Amino acid sequence: MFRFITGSINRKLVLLVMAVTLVPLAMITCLGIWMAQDALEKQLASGLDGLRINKAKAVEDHLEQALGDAELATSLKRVVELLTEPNFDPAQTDMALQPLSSKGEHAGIIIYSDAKNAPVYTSGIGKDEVIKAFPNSKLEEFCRKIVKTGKSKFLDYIEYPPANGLAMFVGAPIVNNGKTIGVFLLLVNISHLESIMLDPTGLGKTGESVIIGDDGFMRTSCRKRLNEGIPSIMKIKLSDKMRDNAFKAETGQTGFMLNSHDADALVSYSKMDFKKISSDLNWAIIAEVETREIEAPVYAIIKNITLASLTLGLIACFIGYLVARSVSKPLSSLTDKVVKLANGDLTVEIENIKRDDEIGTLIKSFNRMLFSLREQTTKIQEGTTELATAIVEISAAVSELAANSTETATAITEISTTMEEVKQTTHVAADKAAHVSEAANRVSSISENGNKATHEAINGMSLIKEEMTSLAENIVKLSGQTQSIGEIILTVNDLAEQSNLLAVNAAIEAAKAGEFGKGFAVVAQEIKSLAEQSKASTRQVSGILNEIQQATSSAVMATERGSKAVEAGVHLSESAGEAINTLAESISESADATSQISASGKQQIIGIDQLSIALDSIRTAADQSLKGVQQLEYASVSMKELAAKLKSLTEQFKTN
Amino acid sequence: MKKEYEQQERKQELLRARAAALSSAPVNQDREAAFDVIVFRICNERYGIESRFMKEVCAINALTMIPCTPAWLSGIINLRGRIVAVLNLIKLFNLPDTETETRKPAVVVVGDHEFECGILAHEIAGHRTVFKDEIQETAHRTALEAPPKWLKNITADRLIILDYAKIRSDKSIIVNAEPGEELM
Repeated sequence: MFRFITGSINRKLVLLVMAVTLVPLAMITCLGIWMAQDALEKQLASGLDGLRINKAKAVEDHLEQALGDAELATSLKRVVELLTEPNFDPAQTDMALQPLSSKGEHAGIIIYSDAKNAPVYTSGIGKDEVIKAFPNSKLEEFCRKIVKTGKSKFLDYIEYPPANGLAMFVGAPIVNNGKTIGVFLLLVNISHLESIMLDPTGLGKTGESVIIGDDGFMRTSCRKRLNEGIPSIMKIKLSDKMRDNAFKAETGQTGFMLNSHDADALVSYSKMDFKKISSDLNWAIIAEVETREIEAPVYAIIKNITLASLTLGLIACFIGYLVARSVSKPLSSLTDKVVKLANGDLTVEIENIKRDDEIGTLIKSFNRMLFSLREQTTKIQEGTTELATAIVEISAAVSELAANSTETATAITEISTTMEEVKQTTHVAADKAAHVSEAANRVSSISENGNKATHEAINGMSLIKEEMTSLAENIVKLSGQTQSIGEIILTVNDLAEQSNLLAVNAAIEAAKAGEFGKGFAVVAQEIKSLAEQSKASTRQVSGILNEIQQATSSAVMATERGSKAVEAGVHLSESAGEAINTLAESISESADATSQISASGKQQIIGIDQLSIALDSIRTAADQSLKGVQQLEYASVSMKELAAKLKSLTEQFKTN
Repeated sequence: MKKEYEQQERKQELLRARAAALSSAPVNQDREAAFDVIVFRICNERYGIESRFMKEVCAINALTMIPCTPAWLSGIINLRGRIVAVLNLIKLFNLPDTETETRKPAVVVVGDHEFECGILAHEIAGHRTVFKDEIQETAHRTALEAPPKWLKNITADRLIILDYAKIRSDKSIIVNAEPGEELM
């Protein structure tokens, strides 16, 4: 809700105008109501006071007149005579009292005779009933008191059947010759008191004015109850608080309290002050108006003022809305545009309003600002695009440069490494050349020895060759002899076979001969075993012979191979001799060459040293340039980023 | 020295006695000799024929082959003036020919006063006595690869003893073919 109001200048302004209009109005209303209520109350209170005083006065006057009438009556001769003269005609008393009774202000007259201790005369009221009700009544007591004191007195309300209800008396002593002989009792006209108190003038609708006794009971009727038909005299009792307040107030007071109908009321009260009559009456008068009657005009005021306020508020709202609209409408359209502008949209247009106030100036200035901003942004965008292109080119070039310088540095490093290697190789080569020349010298002497040795070897070989030839001949002879041994063995084997068969045949024959051939069979068996033995021997011999033959044949082969190898050896040693000779010659040549090599190698080392120094300086330069290029690369990268940022920043603005 | 020599002498004597004991033919009183046989070998099998039906054994130098005779008739030999037909059992009984040695074959000549024939053998093993308890039941004959119909007995050490009576009574070995008659 709060957000809803604070979110719009229009609503704010309307609310403000409403507040400005309504708050003082409300304050004035409150103040007015308060003041009006106060004044009303005061006025009412004073009215009530006046009313109360007037009514009290009227009541007092009435009672005073009654007292005056009573005292006047006692001085009448016919009244005294009524008491003093026996057989006095009461009609004369009637005559005498005619003016009094004809006034109609009093309800009745009773004359009490002290001597008879009974009423002797009545007027306006039944005599028999009076006499009947008299003994032991309050009236009798009242009469006695007056006789005793000799002073006029009032008797407060009592139940008095002869008067058909309540009655109030005023009594005055009848004095004859300084002695009280009787009492003149005047029945006070209660209805007159009632008419005084019930006079509604100045009381309004709910106003009441009653008289109460010190017992708290009402002495006059309550208007509202009277209208409702409820008797209230000596029947309705006021609250003790009200009674006490009323009897305490000697001069009269006003205040709010609960009345006898239990409603809030403004009450004016005072004790009745009977100054002119020595009264035994202890009465108070109360005049009241109920609060709701007092407040009714206040409520009417409130209602009217509220209606007026609402109307005013609505008018204020409308005016406020009109005023706010005239301010906020251009502002809100401007706000929309500015929001778009804040999002980077520079293409917004604001219509020029024909206004000479600050808003018109603001919109015109805003348009001017927008135009210049748009132009500048376009230019900046173009500039950044160019810048980005240029930076891209620069960074590409720098990258190439960096790559090139890196390659150069690498190449230089490789070259220097190679140089180092070449240097070392050259050193090694020089050393080796020295070694080689020494070795060549040694080798030439060794090759001479080798020459001699080969000659000796050739001689040895020819000896071996001769020996081998004789060995081969011997072996061939041996092989022939073993062949002849084999033939002999075959023969022996054949013989063994035949003897075996012979033995078998002999055995057959022996078997045929039966018992006689048994010995022969044994011989045959022996022959057979002999044959088998010889066969086994021949088998062994032939096996051995076979081995010998194999051995001899392999020996023959070996000797042949040996003689061939010897021949090859002779050839080889001869060629070795030749090789050694050529070797010796070439070695001497190479010894010369190595000495030259070592000399050139030393020169080469010096040259390489110079070269490596030069390379070192080149490398330093290349390193520096590489560093420079790397810095340049970093710079170009950051420039690129910068350009990209710039571009993205400017791209946020839409210009067309 | 002397003691050593005596010891040596005693050892020699002991060995000699043992050799004699081993070399003498085992004389078993309980065994009953059945018959004597001549043992010969054809391929990997050893055959025997009772020596009383045996005429002689001989190594042959020349075998004369006869045309128009069955393949099992190797040929004829001249045995001291007698012409003896030589049978090849391998071919006669369709035995597998596994012989690899090429030595001079021998001929076992069997017969009586009426009949005579030679059997070609690869080797003559000799002569031995067959005891009765050596002879096995004929049920085991089926163990042979191709039992010859001339079979008589088989000994425990797989010596096939041929029955001379069956050879004598066998009509199939009589070659008496008329010209044009189909050979067996």
